[in-house]
Amino acid sequence: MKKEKKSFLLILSLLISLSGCDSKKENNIFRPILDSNTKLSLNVIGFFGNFEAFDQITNDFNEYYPNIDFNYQQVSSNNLKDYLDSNPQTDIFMTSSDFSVDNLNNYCLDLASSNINLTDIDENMLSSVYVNDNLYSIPIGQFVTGIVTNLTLLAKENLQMPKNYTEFLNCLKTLKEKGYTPIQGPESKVLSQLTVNMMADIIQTNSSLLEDESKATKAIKSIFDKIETIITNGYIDDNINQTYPYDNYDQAILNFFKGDVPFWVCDSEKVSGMKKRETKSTFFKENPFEYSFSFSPIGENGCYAYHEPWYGFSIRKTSNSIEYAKEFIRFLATKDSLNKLADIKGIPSVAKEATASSIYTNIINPSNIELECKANGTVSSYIISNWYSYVNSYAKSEVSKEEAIQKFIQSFKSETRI
Amino acid sequence: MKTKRKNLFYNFLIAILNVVFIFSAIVSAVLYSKNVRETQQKNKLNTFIANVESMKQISQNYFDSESGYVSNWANYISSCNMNVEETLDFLRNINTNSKRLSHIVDMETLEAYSSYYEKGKEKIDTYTKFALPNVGEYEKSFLEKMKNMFEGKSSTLCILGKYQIDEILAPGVSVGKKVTIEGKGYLLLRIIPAYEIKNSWIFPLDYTSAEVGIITNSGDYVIQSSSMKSESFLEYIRGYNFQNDYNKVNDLEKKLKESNTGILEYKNFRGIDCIYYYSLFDENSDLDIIGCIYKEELTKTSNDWILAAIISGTILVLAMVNSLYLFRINKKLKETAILANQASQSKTYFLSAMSHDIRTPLNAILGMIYIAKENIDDSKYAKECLEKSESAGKQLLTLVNDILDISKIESGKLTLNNSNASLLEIFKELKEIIAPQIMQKNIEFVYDVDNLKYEYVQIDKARLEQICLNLLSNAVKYTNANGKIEFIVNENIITNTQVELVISIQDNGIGMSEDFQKKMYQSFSREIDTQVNNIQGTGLGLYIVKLIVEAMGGTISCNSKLNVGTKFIVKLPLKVADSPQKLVVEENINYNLIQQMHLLVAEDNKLNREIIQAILNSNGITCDLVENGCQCIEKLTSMPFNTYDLILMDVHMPIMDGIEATKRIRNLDNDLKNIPIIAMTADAFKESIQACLDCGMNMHIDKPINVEKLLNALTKIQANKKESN
Repeated sequence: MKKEKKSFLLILSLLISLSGCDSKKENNIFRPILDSNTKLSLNVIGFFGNFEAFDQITNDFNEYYPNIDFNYQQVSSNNLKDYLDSNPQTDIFMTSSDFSVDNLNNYCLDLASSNINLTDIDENMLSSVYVNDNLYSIPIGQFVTGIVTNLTLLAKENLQMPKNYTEFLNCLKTLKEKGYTPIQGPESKVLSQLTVNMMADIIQTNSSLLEDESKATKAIKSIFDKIETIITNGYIDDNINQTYPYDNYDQAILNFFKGDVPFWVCDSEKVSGMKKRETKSTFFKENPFEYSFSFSPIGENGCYAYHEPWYGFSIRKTSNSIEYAKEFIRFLATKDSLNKLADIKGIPSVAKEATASSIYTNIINPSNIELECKANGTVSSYIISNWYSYVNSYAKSEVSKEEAIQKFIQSFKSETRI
Repeated sequence: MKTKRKNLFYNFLIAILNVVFIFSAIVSAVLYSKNVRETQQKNKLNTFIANVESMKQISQNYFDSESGYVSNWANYISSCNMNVEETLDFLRNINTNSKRLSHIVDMETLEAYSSYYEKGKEKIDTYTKFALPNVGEYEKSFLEKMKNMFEGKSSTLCILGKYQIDEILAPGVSVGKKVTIEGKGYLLLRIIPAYEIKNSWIFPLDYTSAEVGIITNSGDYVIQSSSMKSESFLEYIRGYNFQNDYNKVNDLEKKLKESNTGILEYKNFRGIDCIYYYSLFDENSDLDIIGCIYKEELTKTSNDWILAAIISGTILVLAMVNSLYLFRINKKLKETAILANQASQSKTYFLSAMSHDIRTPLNAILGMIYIAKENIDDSKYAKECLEKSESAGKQLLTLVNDILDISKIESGKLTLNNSNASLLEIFKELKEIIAPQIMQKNIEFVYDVDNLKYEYVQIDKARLEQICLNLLSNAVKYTNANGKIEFIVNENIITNTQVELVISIQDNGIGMSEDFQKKMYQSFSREIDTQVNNIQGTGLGLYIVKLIVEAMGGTISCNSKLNVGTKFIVKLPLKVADSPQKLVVEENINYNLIQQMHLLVAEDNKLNREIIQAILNSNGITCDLVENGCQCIEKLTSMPFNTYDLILMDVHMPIMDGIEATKRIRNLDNDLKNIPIIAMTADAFKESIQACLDCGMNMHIDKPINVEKLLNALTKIQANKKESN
C-alpha cells in the first residue's frame, strides 16, 4: 500500500514537473498584456551613440505596440546618475556591468519581482547583477576578452592555431623569427587583457587564496611569469602597441586588418565592430583573410575562459510609464530579442540558448579549456581594474614582478566583496 | 481555298488590330495614370521641399533671434568694461529663460565659465577637449567654427554643436559673439539644449511622417530629429543602408559638401524607404537643413491606379462583350447565310417543282387538244379529249391558286373574312363536295358533326372549307378503294363565348413514313413512294393548311403510320356567334342585260383576244379588239360616242399598259372618261388588283377567264348603268 502511495506521488510530481516545464516553455513567448493602442513615449538613456541593435528591438516591440515611441538619448556613463537626477522623465536607462559601482539601486525597479520572465537568460550572467536578491538590470550581452587570430597568416607560415600555452609560445617564437610582432594590442592593456581571464578564473574558483597569501602569490606569480616570458622574448612591441589607442577601436581594427598582425589582444566590444569595418579597410578589401576570436591559450591544457555580463537595461522606478517600460523589458528578456540584440550589436548573447555569429563560435562553445567561469561577482571591476593597473606597471618596468604581484594581492584582499 | 485563306487573313488582321487597339487603350490609360501619378508625386515632393525650405527660414529666424540676445549682451558687456565675475553676474541676471545657458570662453586657452554655476564654481572645461592633440575631424571643425565665430567670419547662420553640455547633461547647440572683458577678447556663447529645439520644431501636419533636422555638411547632427538615430547622420545612413560597404557613405558626405541642395533616398532605421531633402543655409555656412519623409507618403497618390484599372477593366469587359456580341452576330449571319442558301435552294427547288407541276398539266392540255384535233371527226372521242384537257387546266389553275395563297399568307397579306356562319352547313357542303370522290373509290365515310353545342360561330368560311377540303382530299387520295375515312367534329367549350373547334380526319390509307412526317408541312413535299407518285398533287396542300390554321390561331397535329393510316387533328379557337346572320341568298342573275353589249377589248395576246372574243360572241356580246393601251384610246376616241358599253383592259401590254391607258381615259375631257373599265389580268396579287382599282378601273377579273365571273361582272355593271340612267 505504501509502495502504491509512493508510486502515485511520484507520478503526480512527474506530471506537475512536466506541466511546469510546459508552462515555462510557453512563458518564453512574448504575449502583450497591455492595451496595444496606447500612445506614449518611453525615454531611454544609453551610452552608445550608434545603437542600431536597440532600434531594431524597439521596431519589433512596435509590432505589438505600434503607438509607443522611443526617445533614445546618449549619455556618458560617468554622468548617468546626474542625468537621472535632472531628467525625471527618464523611463529606461542603460547601466554598466558592475552595477554596484554606479550605486543606482535607489533609482531602479526590482525586475526580479516585476513579473518579468527571466528564464531565457543565462542564470550565471544574471547572478553577478543581483544585489541583495534584487535584480536591477537585465544584461544585454556578454563581455569577454581574448585574442583575434589571423588564421590565414598562421596557415601561410605553416602554423596552426595554438591550443595551449606551450603551443602558443612555439607559435610566437616562430612568428617572431619570421619578422612578425606576434602579439599586438593597446599598449596599456595588451598583457593584462591577455591574462585577465586566467586571473579571474583562478580567483573565482579558488576561495582559499584569500586566506593563504603564499598560495595566492604562487597563483598570481604563475601568470606574471607568463607575462614576463612574453615581454622578455620580445613578443610585444610598445611602439606598435601605441598605435592601438584603447578608446579608438576603429583604428585598432583597421590596424589588424592590415593583415600582418598574428594575434590581436582585444575584447568583444572591439570584435563587435570588426565585421562592418571589413569593407572600410582598403587592405582587407584587397587582401581578405580569415580570422577568429578565441580565449587566450595561456593555460597548460588550454584556454582560460571568463564571461561577464555586458551592460544592461534598468527601469526607473519612478517612471510615469512604468507598466509599458516593464512590458518592453519583458519583451527584451525573451530569447529571440536577446539573441537579435546581441547579433546586431556583434556581441555574444546572454540568452540561455544563445545563437552566435561565426566569430563567437569559440566563445560560446570553447574547446581546449583549462578553466571556464561565468562572472558571479567574486571578481569585481575593482579587481580587474587593479589587474590592468599592476600588470601595466610591471610591463612598463615601473614596478618589479614581485612588487606588482604583492600590490595586486593586497588590493584584492582589501576589496570588501571578497 | 484562296478566298478562305484571304478571309482567314482578314479575320486574323482584325483580331490583331483589336488586340492592338485594346492594348493601346490600356497602355494609354496606364501611361496617363502614371503621368498623373508622377505629376502628383512631383507636386507632393515640391510641396515637401517648400515646407523644408520654409522650416529653414524659420530656423534661421529662430537662431537669428537667439543670436540677437548674444549680440546685444556682448555689446553691452564690452561697453561696460566688465570683468569676468561681473560678466557672469550680468549673464545670470539678464538670462530670464531658464532653459538657456551662457558660456564665456577664453579663446587662447579654451577655458570657459558658465553662468549656470554659482559663484566660484563657474569654471568649466567643456571646450578644452577640442584643442587636444590627435582629435578627430569633428573636434577640429568645431574649433574652427569657434574661431570663425570669435573673429566674426561666420556666415549668417553659425551654430556650434551639437556637443555635450555638462550643466544639463545633454547635448546642446550654441550661438555666439566676441565680447571684450577687461580688454581681452572672449567668446560669449548662448547655449540652447538640443531637446528644446527638437520639442519646439513641429513639421506641418500635411505630412505625418515628415521630420527635419540640421546637420553639418560633414554629416554631424546639430539638431537631430526623432527618427535620425546614431551619432551622426552619416553613421545613421551607413548603419541602415550600407552594412556591406562601410565606405559607401563617403559618397554621401561628398555630395553634402559639394552641393547646396539635393534629394536623397535611403532607408530609415525601420527599413522604410525615405526621401531626404537637404538645403544649405547659405554659401558660407556649413549647415544643412535636412527634411525626411516616408517615400510612400510622397508616392501615395489619389486612386489613379484604380482609375487605370477601371478603364482597363472596362475596355477589357467591353472587348469581351463586343467579342461575344460579334460572335453572336457572326453566328446569326452564318445562320442567315445558311437560311439564305436554303432559301435559294428552296427557290431553285420551287422553280423546279413549279416547272414540273406546271408542265405536267400543260402537257396534258396540249396533248389532249392535239389528239382532239387529230380525231376531230370522231366527235365523241374529241369531246372526251377536250374534257381531259379541261380537267388538266383546272388542275393547273388549282396549282396557281395554291401558289397565290402561299404568297399571300407568307407575306402576311392573308386577311380572314370572319362572319357568322353555321358550322353544320359548312360541313354539310363539304360532305357534298367530297362525296363523289368517296363514292368513286367506294370508301366508307364516317361523318359525325352532331356533338356541336354552338352551331354558329365567327369564322372565315372559305378558309375553313379550304382546310377541311385539303385534308379530306388527301385522305381520299391516299386511301385505297374500300377504305375508311372518319370526319368527326367536336367542340371544347372554353367559355360561353369561346370554343375550341376540334376537327379530326382519320383514314386507314397508306400512311406516312416518320421521315416524311418531319417535312410534310414544307412546300412541295410529297412522299417518294411508288404508290404516292401515281397520285396527282402539288405538295402544297399541307403547307397551305398549316399556314392557314396558324393564321387562324389554331394548331394542327398528325399521327400517321405507314400502311396503317393517318389522323389529322385541327384545333381552331373560335368565337361563338350570338345569333346567326341573315344568310345572303344569291339572286338569279339576269344575263339578258348584257345581250347586245358592244365592248372594246384591249389584249396584246392574239390567242387571248380570240378566246375572249369567242366567249363574248357566244353570249351575245360583240366587241372590237385592240393590241395595247394606245390603240385602245385611239379607238375609243375615234368612234362615235356611246359606241362601246365597256372596256375589257389587259394590264400588261406593250407600248402602253392598261394602267396608263385607264388613267388617260379617266382624264379625257368628255363623257368618254366615264366608260366602265374591267381589268383583265393574270396577275392576281392583291397589290395589282388594288393598283387597277386605284387608277380608275371599275372591276377586276382574273385570267384565265372564268366565263361565269365575267358575265356576272358585265351584268352587274350593266345593271348599275341602267339604274343610274
